[in-house]
Amino acid sequence: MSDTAGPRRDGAVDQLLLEAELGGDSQLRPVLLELQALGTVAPEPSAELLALMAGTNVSGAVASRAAATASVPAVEASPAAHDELAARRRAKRRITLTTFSVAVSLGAGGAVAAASDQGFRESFTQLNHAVTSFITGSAGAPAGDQARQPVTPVPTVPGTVPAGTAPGDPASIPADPAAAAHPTATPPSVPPAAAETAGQQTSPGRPGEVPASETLPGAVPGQIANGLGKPAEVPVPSQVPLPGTLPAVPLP
Amino acid sequence: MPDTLAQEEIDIFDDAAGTDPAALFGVAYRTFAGPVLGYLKARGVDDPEAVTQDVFLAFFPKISGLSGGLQGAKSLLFSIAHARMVDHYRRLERRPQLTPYDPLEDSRSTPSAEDHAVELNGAAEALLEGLSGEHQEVLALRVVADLSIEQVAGIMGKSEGAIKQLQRRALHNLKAQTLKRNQANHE
Repeated sequence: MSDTAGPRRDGAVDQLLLEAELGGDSQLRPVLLELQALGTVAPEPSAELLALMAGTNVSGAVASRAAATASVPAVEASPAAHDELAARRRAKRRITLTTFSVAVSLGAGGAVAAASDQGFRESFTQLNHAVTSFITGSAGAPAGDQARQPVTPVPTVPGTVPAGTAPGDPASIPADPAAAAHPTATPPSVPPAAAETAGQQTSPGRPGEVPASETLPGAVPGQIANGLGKPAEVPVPSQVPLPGTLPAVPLP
Repeated sequence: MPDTLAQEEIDIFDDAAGTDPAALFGVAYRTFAGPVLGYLKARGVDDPEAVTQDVFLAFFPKISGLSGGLQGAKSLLFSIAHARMVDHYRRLERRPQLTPYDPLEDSRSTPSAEDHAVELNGAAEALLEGLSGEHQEVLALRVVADLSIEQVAGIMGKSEGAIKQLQRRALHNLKAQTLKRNQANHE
Protein backbone atom coordinates (compact mmCIF):
# COMPACT_ATOMS: atom_id res chain seq x y z
CA MET A 1 0.00 0.00 0.00
CA SER A 2 2.82 2.35 0.75
CA ASP A 3 3.82 2.33 -2.90
CA THR A 4 0.95 4.64 -3.72
CA ALA A 5 2.22 7.40 -1.44
CA GLY A 6 4.37 9.96 -3.17
CA PRO A 7 7.85 10.98 -2.07
CA ARG A 8 6.55 14.19 -0.50
CA ARG A 9 4.28 12.29 1.83
CA ASP A 10 7.06 9.88 2.65
CA GLY A 11 9.01 12.90 3.71
CA ALA A 12 6.17 13.96 5.95
CA VAL A 13 6.24 10.63 7.74
CA ASP A 14 9.99 10.82 8.14
CA GLN A 15 9.72 14.31 9.49
CA LEU A 16 7.10 13.21 11.98
CA LEU A 17 9.37 10.41 13.14
CA LEU A 18 12.25 12.83 13.46
CA GLU A 19 10.14 15.22 15.50
CA ALA A 20 9.31 12.41 17.89
CA GLU A 21 13.00 11.44 18.06
CA LEU A 22 12.20 8.13 16.41
CA GLY A 23 13.99 8.84 13.15
CA GLY A 24 14.94 5.72 11.22
CA ASP A 25 12.56 3.54 13.16
CA SER A 26 12.04 0.56 10.88
CA GLN A 27 8.97 -0.74 12.67
CA LEU A 28 6.95 2.40 12.94
CA ARG A 29 7.60 3.74 9.47
CA PRO A 30 5.69 1.08 7.49
CA VAL A 31 2.78 1.40 9.91
CA LEU A 32 2.62 5.14 9.39
CA LEU A 33 2.91 4.78 5.65
CA GLU A 34 0.07 2.31 5.71
CA LEU A 35 -1.94 4.71 7.77
CA GLN A 36 -1.15 7.49 5.38
CA ALA A 37 -2.30 5.41 2.42
CA LEU A 38 -5.81 5.59 3.86
CA GLY A 39 -6.04 9.11 2.54
CA THR A 40 -5.16 8.34 -1.03
CA VAL A 41 -8.47 7.02 -2.26
CA ALA A 42 -11.02 9.72 -2.99
CA PRO A 43 -14.66 8.74 -2.81
CA GLU A 44 -17.03 9.38 -5.65
CA PRO A 45 -18.86 12.64 -5.11
CA SER A 46 -22.55 12.31 -4.41
CA ALA A 47 -25.17 13.80 -6.71
CA GLU A 48 -25.53 16.80 -4.46
CA LEU A 49 -21.81 17.51 -4.52
CA LEU A 50 -21.68 16.99 -8.25
CA ALA A 51 -24.42 19.57 -8.66
CA LEU A 52 -22.42 22.03 -6.56
CA MET A 53 -19.24 21.36 -8.48
CA ALA A 54 -20.94 21.42 -11.83
CA GLY A 55 -22.03 24.99 -11.14
CA THR A 56 -20.30 26.85 -13.97
CA ASN A 57 -18.08 24.12 -15.27
CA VAL A 58 -20.82 22.55 -17.34
CA SER A 59 -23.40 24.97 -18.54
CA GLY A 60 -22.82 28.38 -17.12
CA ALA A 61 -24.65 30.74 -14.88
CA VAL A 62 -28.16 29.34 -15.21
CA ALA A 63 -27.17 25.89 -14.10
CA SER A 64 -25.12 27.23 -11.27
CA ARG A 65 -27.98 29.42 -10.13
CA ALA A 66 -30.31 26.45 -10.24
CA ALA A 67 -27.83 24.23 -8.43
CA ALA A 68 -27.17 26.87 -5.84
CA THR A 69 -30.85 27.49 -5.16
CA ALA A 70 -31.51 23.78 -5.05
CA SER A 71 -28.73 22.76 -2.77
CA VAL A 72 -27.59 25.72 -0.75
CA PRO A 73 -30.62 25.85 1.54
CA ALA A 74 -30.16 22.18 2.27
CA VAL A 75 -26.48 22.75 2.83
CA GLU A 76 -27.05 25.63 5.13
CA ALA A 77 -29.64 23.72 7.08
CA SER A 78 -27.46 20.68 7.56
CA PRO A 79 -24.56 22.22 9.49
CA ALA A 80 -27.01 23.92 11.78
CA ALA A 81 -28.75 20.62 12.29
CA HIS A 82 -25.78 18.57 13.41
CA ASP A 83 -22.86 20.80 14.18
CA GLU A 84 -23.09 19.69 17.74
CA LEU A 85 -19.52 20.45 18.65
CA ALA A 86 -19.95 24.17 18.09
CA ALA A 87 -23.13 24.20 20.12
CA ARG A 88 -21.43 22.34 22.91
CA ARG A 89 -18.53 24.74 22.95
CA ARG A 90 -20.96 27.62 23.18
CA ALA A 91 -22.77 25.88 26.01
CA LYS A 92 -19.49 25.37 27.83
CA ARG A 93 -18.70 29.04 27.52
CA ARG A 94 -22.17 29.85 28.78
CA ILE A 95 -21.64 27.67 31.85
CA THR A 96 -18.45 29.57 32.69
CA LEU A 97 -20.25 32.86 32.28
CA THR A 98 -23.13 31.71 34.47
CA THR A 99 -20.81 30.50 37.20
CA PHE A 100 -18.93 33.77 37.16
CA SER A 101 -22.07 35.89 37.31
CA VAL A 102 -23.53 33.80 40.14
CA ALA A 103 -20.30 34.17 42.10
CA VAL A 104 -20.28 37.93 41.53
CA SER A 105 -23.90 38.36 42.56
CA LEU A 106 -23.36 36.22 45.68
CA GLY A 107 -20.41 38.36 46.62
CA ALA A 108 -22.37 41.54 46.07
CA GLY A 109 -25.29 40.20 48.11
CA GLY A 110 -23.01 39.21 50.95
CA ALA A 111 -21.42 42.62 50.95
CA VAL A 112 -24.82 44.34 51.08
CA ALA A 113 -26.00 42.07 53.90
CA ALA A 114 -22.86 42.77 55.90
CA ALA A 115 -23.18 46.49 55.28
CA SER A 116 -26.83 46.55 56.40
CA ASP A 117 -25.90 44.97 59.72
CA GLN A 118 -26.03 47.60 62.48
CA GLY A 119 -23.05 46.32 64.44
CA PHE A 120 -20.93 46.19 61.34
CA ARG A 121 -21.88 49.71 60.43
CA GLU A 122 -21.14 50.97 63.91
CA SER A 123 -17.78 49.32 63.99
CA PHE A 124 -17.10 50.80 60.61
CA THR A 125 -18.05 54.26 61.84
CA GLN A 126 -15.85 53.78 64.87
CA LEU A 127 -13.01 52.80 62.67
CA ASN A 128 -13.69 55.84 60.56
CA HIS A 129 -13.67 58.00 63.67
CA ALA A 130 -10.47 56.45 64.88
CA VAL A 131 -8.81 57.08 61.57
CA THR A 132 -10.02 60.66 61.28
CA SER A 133 -9.10 61.43 64.88
CA PHE A 134 -5.69 59.93 64.36
CA ILE A 135 -5.12 61.98 61.23
CA THR A 136 -6.50 65.22 62.63
CA GLY A 137 -4.97 64.57 66.07
CA SER A 138 -1.39 64.52 64.88
CA ALA A 139 -1.76 67.84 63.06
CA GLY A 140 -4.72 69.03 65.12
CA ALA A 141 -3.31 72.03 66.95
CA PRO A 142 -1.81 73.90 64.01
CA ALA A 143 -4.64 72.94 61.75
CA GLY A 144 -7.25 74.15 64.20
CA ASP A 145 -5.44 77.44 64.72
CA GLN A 146 -4.92 78.02 61.06
CA ALA A 147 -8.54 77.28 60.40
CA ARG A 148 -9.66 79.69 63.04
CA GLN A 149 -7.17 82.47 62.49
CA PRO A 150 -7.87 83.33 58.86
CA VAL A 151 -11.34 84.43 59.99
CA THR A 152 -9.68 87.22 61.98
CA PRO A 153 -8.34 90.25 60.11
CA VAL A 154 -5.54 89.63 57.64
CA PRO A 155 -2.73 91.66 59.31
CA THR A 156 -2.76 89.47 62.39
CA VAL A 157 -2.15 86.27 60.43
CA PRO A 158 1.62 86.49 60.01
CA GLY A 159 2.00 87.40 63.63
CA THR A 160 -0.26 84.73 65.05
CA VAL A 161 0.94 81.76 63.10
CA PRO A 162 4.29 81.53 64.92
CA ALA A 163 2.51 82.38 68.14
CA GLY A 164 0.08 79.53 67.66
CA THR A 165 2.83 77.04 67.21
CA ALA A 166 4.07 77.77 70.71
CA PRO A 167 0.97 77.99 72.86
CA GLY A 168 2.76 77.00 76.02
CA ASP A 169 4.73 80.23 76.19
CA PRO A 170 2.41 82.99 77.46
CA ALA A 171 4.89 85.80 77.00
CA SER A 172 5.33 85.33 73.25
CA ILE A 173 1.65 85.48 72.47
CA PRO A 174 0.87 88.98 73.68
CA ALA A 175 4.06 90.23 72.12
CA ASP A 176 3.43 89.12 68.54
CA PRO A 177 -0.23 90.05 68.01
CA ALA A 178 0.30 93.30 69.75
CA ALA A 179 3.18 94.11 67.48
CA ALA A 180 1.10 93.16 64.47
CA ALA A 181 -2.01 95.08 65.45
CA HIS A 182 -0.39 98.24 66.92
CA PRO A 183 3.13 98.58 65.67
CA THR A 184 3.75 101.97 67.25
CA ALA A 185 1.88 101.83 70.55
CA THR A 186 2.58 98.34 71.79
CA PRO A 187 6.40 98.04 71.82
CA PRO A 188 6.70 100.10 75.00
CA SER A 189 3.73 98.32 76.56
CA VAL A 190 4.98 94.80 75.82
CA PRO A 191 7.97 94.66 78.19
CA PRO A 192 5.87 95.71 81.22
CA ALA A 193 3.23 93.18 80.31
CA ALA A 194 5.82 90.48 79.93
CA ALA A 195 7.47 91.53 83.12
CA GLU A 196 4.14 91.57 84.92
CA THR A 197 3.19 88.11 83.73
CA ALA A 198 6.63 86.83 84.63
CA GLY A 199 6.33 88.30 88.07
CA GLN A 200 2.85 86.94 88.54
CA GLN A 201 3.94 83.47 87.58
CA THR A 202 6.72 83.52 90.12
CA SER A 203 4.34 84.56 92.89
CA PRO A 204 2.29 81.47 93.71
CA GLY A 205 -0.49 83.10 95.67
CA ARG A 206 -1.99 85.26 92.96
CA PRO A 207 -3.86 83.85 90.00
CA GLY A 208 -2.28 84.77 86.67
CA GLU A 209 -5.37 85.35 84.60
CA VAL A 210 -6.63 88.44 86.31
CA PRO A 211 -3.78 90.83 85.47
CA ALA A 212 -3.38 89.24 82.07
CA SER A 213 -7.00 89.91 81.23
CA GLU A 214 -6.68 93.42 82.55
CA THR A 215 -3.70 94.37 80.48
CA LEU A 216 -4.68 92.64 77.28
CA PRO A 217 -8.09 94.19 76.54
CA GLY A 218 -6.52 97.57 76.82
CA ALA A 219 -3.69 96.88 74.45
CA VAL A 220 -5.26 94.46 71.96
CA PRO A 221 -8.66 94.29 70.28
CA GLY A 222 -11.27 91.73 71.27
CA GLN A 223 -10.49 89.04 68.76
CA ILE A 224 -6.89 88.82 69.86
CA ALA A 225 -7.87 88.80 73.50
CA ASN A 226 -10.00 85.83 72.61
CA GLY A 227 -6.97 83.98 71.27
CA LEU A 228 -4.82 85.26 74.08
CA GLY A 229 -7.13 84.28 76.89
CA LYS A 230 -6.81 80.60 76.16
CA PRO A 231 -3.05 80.17 76.35
CA ALA A 232 -2.96 82.46 79.35
CA GLU A 233 -5.58 80.40 81.18
CA VAL A 234 -4.06 77.05 80.41
CA PRO A 235 -0.60 77.40 82.04
CA VAL A 236 -1.56 79.65 84.94
CA PRO A 237 -4.09 77.40 86.74
CA SER A 238 -1.77 74.46 86.27
CA GLN A 239 1.08 76.33 87.87
CA VAL A 240 -0.86 78.17 90.57
CA PRO A 241 -2.59 75.33 92.46
CA LEU A 242 0.37 73.01 92.30
CA PRO A 243 2.70 74.92 94.63
CA GLY A 244 -0.24 75.59 96.94
CA THR A 245 -1.39 72.00 97.22
CA LEU A 246 1.84 70.11 97.04
CA PRO A 247 3.40 71.55 100.16
CA ALA A 248 0.04 71.17 101.89
CA VAL A 249 -0.06 67.45 101.39
CA PRO A 250 3.31 66.36 102.87
CA LEU A 251 3.21 68.80 105.84
CA PRO A 252 0.35 67.20 107.82
CA MET B 1 -4.28 13.96 -3.96
CA PRO B 2 -1.87 16.71 -3.06
CA ASP B 3 0.91 15.05 -5.06
CA THR B 4 -0.97 15.28 -8.30
CA LEU B 5 -2.34 18.73 -7.61
CA ALA B 6 -1.68 21.02 -10.51
CA GLN B 7 -0.05 24.36 -9.84
CA GLU B 8 -3.02 26.20 -11.31
CA GLU B 9 -5.27 24.48 -8.80
CA ILE B 10 -3.05 25.72 -6.01
CA ASP B 11 -3.08 29.19 -7.48
CA ILE B 12 -6.83 29.27 -7.77
CA PHE B 13 -7.07 29.32 -3.99
CA ASP B 14 -4.66 32.17 -3.61
CA ASP B 15 -7.11 34.65 -5.06
CA ALA B 16 -10.27 32.93 -3.96
CA ALA B 17 -12.20 36.18 -3.70
CA GLY B 18 -12.88 36.67 -7.38
CA THR B 19 -13.14 33.04 -8.38
CA ASP B 20 -16.31 31.11 -8.95
CA PRO B 21 -17.15 29.17 -5.78
CA ALA B 22 -18.17 26.11 -7.80
CA ALA B 23 -14.72 25.89 -9.39
CA LEU B 24 -13.05 26.32 -6.00
CA PHE B 25 -15.30 23.69 -4.56
CA GLY B 26 -14.39 21.24 -7.33
CA VAL B 27 -10.69 21.78 -6.71
CA ALA B 28 -11.15 21.41 -2.97
CA TYR B 29 -13.03 18.17 -3.44
CA ARG B 30 -10.49 16.67 -5.78
CA THR B 31 -7.69 17.72 -3.49
CA PHE B 32 -9.01 16.82 -0.08
CA ALA B 33 -11.75 14.24 -0.45
CA GLY B 34 -9.25 11.41 -0.17
CA PRO B 35 -7.51 12.68 2.98
CA VAL B 36 -10.84 13.53 4.59
CA LEU B 37 -12.14 10.06 3.88
CA GLY B 38 -8.92 8.52 5.15
CA TYR B 39 -9.08 10.60 8.31
CA LEU B 40 -12.65 9.57 9.00
CA LYS B 41 -11.79 5.94 8.32
CA ALA B 42 -8.79 6.08 10.61
CA ARG B 43 -10.96 7.52 13.35
CA GLY B 44 -13.47 4.72 12.92
CA VAL B 45 -16.46 6.85 11.98
CA ASP B 46 -19.45 4.89 10.73
CA ASP B 47 -20.02 5.24 7.00
CA PRO B 48 -17.03 7.47 6.29
CA GLU B 49 -18.03 8.07 2.66
CA ALA B 50 -21.34 9.63 3.65
CA VAL B 51 -19.70 11.76 6.33
CA THR B 52 -17.12 12.93 3.77
CA GLN B 53 -19.91 14.13 1.50
CA ASP B 54 -21.47 15.78 4.51
CA VAL B 55 -18.23 17.56 5.38
CA PHE B 56 -17.97 18.99 1.88
CA LEU B 57 -21.59 20.07 1.92
CA ALA B 58 -20.92 21.97 5.12
CA PHE B 59 -17.77 23.42 3.57
CA PHE B 60 -19.47 24.83 0.46
CA PRO B 61 -21.30 27.81 2.06
CA LYS B 62 -18.05 28.90 3.73
CA ILE B 63 -16.02 29.07 0.54
CA SER B 64 -16.87 32.71 -0.09
CA GLY B 65 -15.39 33.83 3.22
CA LEU B 66 -12.36 31.63 2.92
CA SER B 67 -8.89 33.02 3.57
CA GLY B 68 -5.44 31.49 3.73
CA GLY B 69 -5.46 29.83 0.31
CA LEU B 70 -5.24 26.09 -0.04
CA GLN B 71 -3.96 25.58 3.48
CA GLY B 72 -6.85 27.62 4.82
CA ALA B 73 -9.32 25.43 2.94
CA LYS B 74 -7.58 22.34 4.26
CA SER B 75 -7.70 23.60 7.82
CA LEU B 76 -11.37 24.45 7.51
CA LEU B 77 -12.25 21.10 5.96
CA PHE B 78 -10.50 19.14 8.65
CA SER B 79 -12.02 21.33 11.35
CA ILE B 80 -15.44 20.35 10.02
CA ALA B 81 -14.39 16.71 9.75
CA HIS B 82 -13.05 16.81 13.32
CA ALA B 83 -16.34 18.25 14.56
CA ARG B 84 -18.25 15.51 12.74
CA MET B 85 -16.00 12.89 14.26
CA VAL B 86 -16.50 14.30 17.74
CA ASP B 87 -20.23 14.35 17.12
CA HIS B 88 -20.07 10.74 16.05
CA TYR B 89 -18.41 9.65 19.26
CA ARG B 90 -20.76 11.70 21.38
CA ARG B 91 -23.69 10.08 19.65
CA LEU B 92 -22.09 6.71 20.18
CA GLU B 93 -21.90 7.35 23.91
CA ARG B 94 -25.62 7.99 24.07
CA ARG B 95 -26.49 5.01 21.93
CA PRO B 96 -27.18 1.64 23.59
CA GLN B 97 -24.22 -0.68 23.47
CA LEU B 98 -24.35 -3.06 20.53
CA THR B 99 -22.24 -6.10 19.91
CA PRO B 100 -20.82 -5.82 16.43
CA TYR B 101 -21.22 -8.74 14.10
CA ASP B 102 -17.86 -10.39 13.73
CA PRO B 103 -17.72 -12.62 10.66
CA LEU B 104 -14.59 -14.31 11.94
CA GLU B 105 -16.51 -15.76 14.82
CA ASP B 106 -19.36 -16.85 12.62
CA SER B 107 -18.77 -20.51 11.95
CA ARG B 108 -21.37 -20.61 9.20
CA SER B 109 -19.15 -18.84 6.66
CA THR B 110 -15.71 -19.40 5.26
CA PRO B 111 -13.27 -16.57 4.58
CA SER B 112 -13.21 -15.61 0.94
CA ALA B 113 -10.37 -14.37 -1.17
CA GLU B 114 -12.09 -11.02 -1.48
CA ASP B 115 -12.15 -10.66 2.29
CA HIS B 116 -8.52 -11.42 2.36
CA ALA B 117 -7.81 -8.68 -0.19
CA VAL B 118 -9.89 -6.17 1.71
CA GLU B 119 -8.27 -7.19 4.97
CA LEU B 120 -5.32 -4.94 4.30
CA ASN B 121 -7.53 -1.90 4.36
CA GLY B 122 -9.27 -3.11 7.45
CA ALA B 123 -5.93 -3.62 9.09
CA ALA B 124 -4.95 -0.08 8.28
CA GLU B 125 -8.09 1.20 9.90
CA ALA B 126 -7.42 -0.94 12.94
CA LEU B 127 -3.89 0.37 13.22
CA LEU B 128 -4.83 3.06 15.66
CA GLU B 129 -6.86 0.74 17.84
CA GLY B 130 -5.61 0.55 21.36
CA LEU B 131 -4.47 4.16 21.43
CA SER B 132 -6.32 6.80 23.38
CA GLY B 133 -8.71 9.10 21.54
CA GLU B 134 -6.33 12.05 21.56
CA HIS B 135 -3.43 9.97 20.33
CA GLN B 136 -5.53 8.57 17.51
CA GLU B 137 -6.69 12.04 16.63
CA VAL B 138 -3.27 13.63 16.52
CA LEU B 139 -1.86 10.80 14.39
CA ALA B 140 -4.82 10.85 12.02
CA LEU B 141 -4.52 14.59 11.56
CA ARG B 142 -0.77 14.59 11.19
CA VAL B 143 -0.32 11.49 9.07
CA VAL B 144 -3.53 10.91 7.15
CA ALA B 145 -4.63 14.49 6.77
CA ASP B 146 -1.03 15.70 6.44
CA LEU B 147 -1.64 18.83 8.48
CA SER B 148 1.04 20.91 10.14
CA ILE B 149 1.43 21.04 13.91
CA GLU B 150 0.01 24.54 13.86
CA GLN B 151 -3.11 23.44 12.02
CA VAL B 152 -3.58 20.42 14.27
CA ALA B 153 -3.26 22.68 17.30
CA GLY B 154 -5.96 24.94 15.88
CA ILE B 155 -8.32 22.07 15.15
CA MET B 156 -7.86 20.28 18.48
CA GLY B 157 -7.90 23.49 20.49
CA LYS B 158 -4.50 22.94 22.10
CA SER B 159 -1.15 24.67 22.08
CA GLU B 160 1.56 23.66 19.63
CA GLY B 161 3.76 22.38 22.44
CA ALA B 162 0.95 20.16 23.66
CA ILE B 163 0.47 18.76 20.16
CA LYS B 164 4.18 18.02 19.83
CA GLN B 165 4.16 16.22 23.15
CA LEU B 166 0.98 14.39 22.25
CA GLN B 167 2.27 13.15 18.90
CA ARG B 168 5.48 12.00 20.49
CA ARG B 169 3.62 9.94 23.05
CA ALA B 170 1.21 8.70 20.41
CA LEU B 171 4.06 7.46 18.24
CA HIS B 172 5.70 5.70 21.16
CA ASN B 173 2.38 4.10 22.06
CA LEU B 174 1.82 3.11 18.46
CA LYS B 175 5.22 1.50 18.38
CA ALA B 176 4.46 -0.48 21.51
CA GLN B 177 1.12 -1.55 20.06
CA THR B 178 2.74 -2.61 16.80
CA LEU B 179 5.35 -4.64 18.60
CA LYS B 180 2.66 -6.35 20.63
CA ARG B 181 0.63 -7.06 17.52
CA ASN B 182 3.62 -8.42 15.66
CA GLN B 183 4.47 -10.71 18.53
CA ALA B 184 0.90 -11.94 18.64
CA ASN B 185 1.00 -12.63 14.91
CA HIS B 186 4.20 -14.59 15.18
CA GLU B 187 3.00 -16.78 17.98
